[in-house]
Amino acid sequence: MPTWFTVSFILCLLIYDGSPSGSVAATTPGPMTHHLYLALQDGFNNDSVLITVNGKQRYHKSGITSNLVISLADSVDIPMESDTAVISVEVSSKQIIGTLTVQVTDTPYVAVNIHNGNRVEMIPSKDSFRYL
Amino acid sequence: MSDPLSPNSSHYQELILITEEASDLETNAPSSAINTLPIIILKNSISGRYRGSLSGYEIELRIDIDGVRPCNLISGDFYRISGSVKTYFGSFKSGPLTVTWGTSIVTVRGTLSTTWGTPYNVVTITIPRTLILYPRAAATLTFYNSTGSKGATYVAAFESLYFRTIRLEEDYEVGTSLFGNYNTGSLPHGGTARTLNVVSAYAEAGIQMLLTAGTDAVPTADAGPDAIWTNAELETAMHHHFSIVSDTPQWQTWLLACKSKHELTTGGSTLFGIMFDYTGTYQRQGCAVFQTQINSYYGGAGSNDANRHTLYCYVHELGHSFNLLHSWDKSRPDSLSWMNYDWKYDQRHSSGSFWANFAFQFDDLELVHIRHDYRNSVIMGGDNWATNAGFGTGEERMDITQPIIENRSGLALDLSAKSIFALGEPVVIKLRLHLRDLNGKVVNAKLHPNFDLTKIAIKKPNGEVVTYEPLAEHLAGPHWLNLSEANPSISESAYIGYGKDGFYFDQPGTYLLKAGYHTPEGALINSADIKISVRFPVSAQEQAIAELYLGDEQGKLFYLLGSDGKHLQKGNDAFDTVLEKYGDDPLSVYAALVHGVNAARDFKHVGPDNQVSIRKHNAKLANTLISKVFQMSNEGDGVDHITLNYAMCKAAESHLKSGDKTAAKKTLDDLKGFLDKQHIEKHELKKAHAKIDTLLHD
Repeated sequence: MPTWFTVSFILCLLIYDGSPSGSVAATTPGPMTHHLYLALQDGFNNDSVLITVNGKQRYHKSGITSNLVISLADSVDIPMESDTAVISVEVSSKQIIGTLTVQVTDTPYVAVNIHNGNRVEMIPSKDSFRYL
Repeated sequence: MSDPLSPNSSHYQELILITEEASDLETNAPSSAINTLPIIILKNSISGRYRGSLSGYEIELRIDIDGVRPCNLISGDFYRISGSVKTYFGSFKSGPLTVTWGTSIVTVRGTLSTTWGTPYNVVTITIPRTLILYPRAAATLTFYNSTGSKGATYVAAFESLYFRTIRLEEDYEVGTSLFGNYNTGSLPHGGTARTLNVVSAYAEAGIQMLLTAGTDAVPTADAGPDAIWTNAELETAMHHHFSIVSDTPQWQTWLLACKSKHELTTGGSTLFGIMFDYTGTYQRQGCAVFQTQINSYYGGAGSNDANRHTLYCYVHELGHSFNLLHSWDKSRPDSLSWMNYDWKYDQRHSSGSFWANFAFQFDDLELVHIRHDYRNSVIMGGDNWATNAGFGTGEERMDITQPIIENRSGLALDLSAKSIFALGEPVVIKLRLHLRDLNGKVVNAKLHPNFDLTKIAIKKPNGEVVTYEPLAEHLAGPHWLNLSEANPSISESAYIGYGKDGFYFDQPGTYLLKAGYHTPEGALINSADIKISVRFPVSAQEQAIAELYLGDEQGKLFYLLGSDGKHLQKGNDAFDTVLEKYGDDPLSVYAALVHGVNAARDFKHVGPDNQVSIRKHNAKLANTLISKVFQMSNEGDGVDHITLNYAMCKAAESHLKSGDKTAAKKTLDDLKGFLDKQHIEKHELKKAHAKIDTLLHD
């Protein structure tokens, strides 16, 4: 059974006003997590796609095809620890590759298209993508 | 609400400046007055839809030479009227026109492309010009060939200002409501400020949207326990709530306004709308708009921005139902169209530039598609999504689809077949004619395409469309049969691999098939299209068997189910080779079938001196070969039950002719056991059993 003291202590913690001196987040800082959203949109046709971010492989799939109804083939949500992302998209089935560096805090959304069947095009955006 | 296509709208009346060239008849004014003052006479516009008929054909003609955003084209569809049934026949559309505007008549000349082959591809149309308050006049079309010889002449009465008419049903998910109007002047915009809704937006494009009275509230439970829509759940909801849903090509479509989101809305992307019906057969019948997502993104329900995007989303998704692709998929990324994405346009220009310049309309080539492309390219349930989708590149195609528009015959025809055939494998189809209601119907039961009542159309992988022609005309009197509640269908299987044109399926690829049956009243009942694939040989053995089966003599032997004819010896030798060298291969069942059935019957030889000699049936050989067919069929590798029924009855007859009733009985008992295991309708199984019993007892 919890003692009166224990209950009072927990209550005190619950109503604590969050002043800096007592902020858990401030005293024990952890990694800030952002998200990088990559949207494989137009021009994919049964392609093999390998995506690396900051040197780490984050996505590798084959059979990627754009759905013409919404112009989206697939999307990837990548948790990031750093503010900067160096993105490399390799479409091995077409032997093309594209790279882009983005500030994830500014433009966390990146559209990836295959342009004219021979070029990887990446367009960063601060807004999420809307499909219809 | 203004309707730019309404008969009373000034958009549809032309101001004609009458000068001294005008006739008294048109102006109905003294000529002296004409010489001094110009008189303004209002005349009806010409553009719109016209309809006429001639000799069992009905024409729907679309003339588009004046009015709002004219495309300067004509197009049309032909329907065949056969008894009580109206079937689509084909479509035509013009290239650039020569239009001569006389004071009392308009003459239009153009060259046509058509979905069927015809030398009469030049047309001249004359339309008298009428004063407003008078009805619009009929159009007279005369077709010519390239040398100027005259073809048919149709007179088509004016029907509508709209080029096409679509029935639209809008349903909504409980907790949201259907969108109404948006004033395009509420925010920065292109074009003229006006109040628009879905109906008026399409009216501006020349398309009449007639709302059905079947608006329905769809429970969120239809989106599943997670209350997140999937395409499958939307499709199911459409079939439950779309009051006029029909799996045939029809000028009708369904839109669901959703409260709940779609599963494709994730952390990084939001789905505002989708034309979800893009797989399976009869696509493009339904779409959905996710209104809560739009409202959340654009400042809440009722905000101008949310209203603007909701209207845009409604019109955009319905555009997909007309088989319109996104603008950039048609190489027009800078198009200011309902079919572009605002943010994609802005990526290429500048932020906000789409809405600042968008005039709330389709682009010119999209108008051409929805007004004038071939019927199946546009109609909901016609061509698959993105097929013949109006790229504006002048693409052409042939198709075999002649779906029934109105079938009051009380009958329906089903066509089925294996979905995949090996190269060289005989293509056998199953036909089933059945009642559509409980009213009895007398039919001619000669369903096999060897008799002239049933036709099979085949669209080959290269797009060529041919009709299966049996090797020989089978003349036979009708076999009248009463289809009733107790006996509602008849079935037949038919080999259609070889006919007058040789082999029909001798190339790997996908083939489209359709069957048509002529009723006693002269109506034509069409089946739905089916697809079959002929696959490439997967082994050297399959390649060898394909080569052994794909010879003219072998084709004839498949058609005849065997023959001793000397002229077919090479074919029989090829079948012997299949049985000897590749007897374990499932494809050898067809050689066994042909040789087995042939062995079971007597064969008459006519000698050079016209002397007839008879080769007697060989019950033992027939039994051996047909037992093999039975075994393989029993294991699922053989032939269909109708073919097996025929072959085993022949084997039993051969036993009986040899006096071996025991062997005959065993064969027929095996057959009965086999048939009992098949998914055969009760009344047809009963008929098959009765026929087998008769054989034994006779």
